[in-house]
Amino acid sequence: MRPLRLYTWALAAALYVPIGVMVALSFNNSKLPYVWGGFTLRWYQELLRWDQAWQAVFNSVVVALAVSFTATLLGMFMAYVLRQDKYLTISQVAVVMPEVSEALSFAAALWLVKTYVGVDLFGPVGVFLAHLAYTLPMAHVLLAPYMAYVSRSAVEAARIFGASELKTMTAVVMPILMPAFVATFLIVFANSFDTYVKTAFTTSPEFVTAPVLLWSYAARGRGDPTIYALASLMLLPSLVAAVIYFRAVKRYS
Amino acid sequence: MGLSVELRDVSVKYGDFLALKNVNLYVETSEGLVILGPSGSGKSTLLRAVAGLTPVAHGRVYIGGKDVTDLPPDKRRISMLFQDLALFPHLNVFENVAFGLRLKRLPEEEVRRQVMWALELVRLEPQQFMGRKIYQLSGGQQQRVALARALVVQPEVLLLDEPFSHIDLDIKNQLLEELKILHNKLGFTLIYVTHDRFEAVEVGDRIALMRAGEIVQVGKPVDLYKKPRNRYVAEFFGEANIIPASLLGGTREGYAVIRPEDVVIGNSPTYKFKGQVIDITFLWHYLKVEIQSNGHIFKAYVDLETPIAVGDVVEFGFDAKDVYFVAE
Repeated sequence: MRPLRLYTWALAAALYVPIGVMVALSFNNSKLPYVWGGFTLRWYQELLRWDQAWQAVFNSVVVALAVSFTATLLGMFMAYVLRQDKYLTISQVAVVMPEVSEALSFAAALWLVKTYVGVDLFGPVGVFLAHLAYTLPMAHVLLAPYMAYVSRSAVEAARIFGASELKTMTAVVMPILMPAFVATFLIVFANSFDTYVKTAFTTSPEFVTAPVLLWSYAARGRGDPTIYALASLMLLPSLVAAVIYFRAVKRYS
Repeated sequence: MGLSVELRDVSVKYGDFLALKNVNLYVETSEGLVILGPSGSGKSTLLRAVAGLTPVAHGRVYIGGKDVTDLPPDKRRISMLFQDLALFPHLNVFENVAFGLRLKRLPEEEVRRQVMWALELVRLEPQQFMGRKIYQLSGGQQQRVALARALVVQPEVLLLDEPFSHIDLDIKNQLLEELKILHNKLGFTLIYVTHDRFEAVEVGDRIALMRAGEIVQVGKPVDLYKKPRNRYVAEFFGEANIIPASLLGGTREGYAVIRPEDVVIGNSPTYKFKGQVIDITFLWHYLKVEIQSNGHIFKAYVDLETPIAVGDVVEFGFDAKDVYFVAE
């Protein structure tokens, strides 16, 4: 068991030590990452004055909200329709395929639309569509197991009382699935919020999201610790999402 | 209250599988009919065909003399109790029971009045229970909520699909007793599906015994017990000794059915056998004795005081009037 434990700790360290270092450096009173100049909040103060960063965060939030809502709702309908076993395997394979496909192909598609249809979708719409294509399968796969909590007989009981299909959906199916819906929403949000590659390929120079902004500074090595501060703050939504997710899913046990 | 239910030549298919084969059945107004059979015999399918939850491939369904074959479930004046109860987990007791009333857009005051009425019917104290969540209730209490939800819409026909199969025997018996009282009081027609013959005789005025998508025999419990149509009915509906008719002498073909309580140990009347006792089971108010004889194992129910032990060689037999012959 010992090597396995060692490996687990090493993996956890590889995941979290860089994040910890980054958070620490966001409080470092020095521009040089390898010199500890004492504790400061000045990078956070500078961040407050950096309008472009806040616009980027705002853009990320708007896209992530729109994507999570759409993907979760569509994912739920898909999971509901495809809940019978004989469709499940096929649907899982079919809907997971786009997850595998690269952002590049999406960029190519947008390029084709721009060239041959004359509609330029690069920018918010392109980012939205790319994120949706990438998170919808995720939403479907996450929601599908929870369909078991909507028993066939509960749906039939509603029918016997004269509930229409729409009424059954809103009064029975959706309330039962609400915790799963919230949980999935948050996971999709967290994924959309910090996606860089798919965004970079499908956005326009005018539409900058937080990960794109971070990357443009970090990759060119031009950043000062303000970007550490921004990145540290961006951890918060993911943390909150994780906590709410586990609380929501617990309601099924 | 109560409406008759009739199935004429009803067949139901699941893909290529014929789950119900040309079934004919008439259930009288306010009657209690039990559909009995092993799993996979089509009994639930029959109930779902009456409810309108499963489309029929062939034949017609009538409720109160009216052809309802093409009507949706909510236009059939039925209610159904499902095996898994199908309570809505996100709603409390009050809202579960009120569900059907709300769909009728009744005024709030009327909804409240009728929910109270239904909860009292199933003996759940409304003040104590109506605010509770479903998962806060015991199995028996959940059954009562499901029953209240089914009864609150005042159905003419109540359909029950093995509703009590997952609960303790004591609570089951109590609920069966109360169901009978409600049936008598409210007068709805009751169709009850079960695989359990003990449950069947509790609620059934008549019993329809099914096998492989067909009704084998319909009748009063005593008729199924004393005059089974064939060996299958004799075996499924109570314990039976079934032996080739030729074993009793004469030229008769087929089988003879003798119920264990008609088998006498010792000085026996018409038919006499000799055999060895291989097992004795204590069954509260009688002993069940198994006797090996002529390559058959005979079962006999005898008095607790009977002086008998495993290994004894005994004479036993039965009276001619207690033998019932079946062809197959």
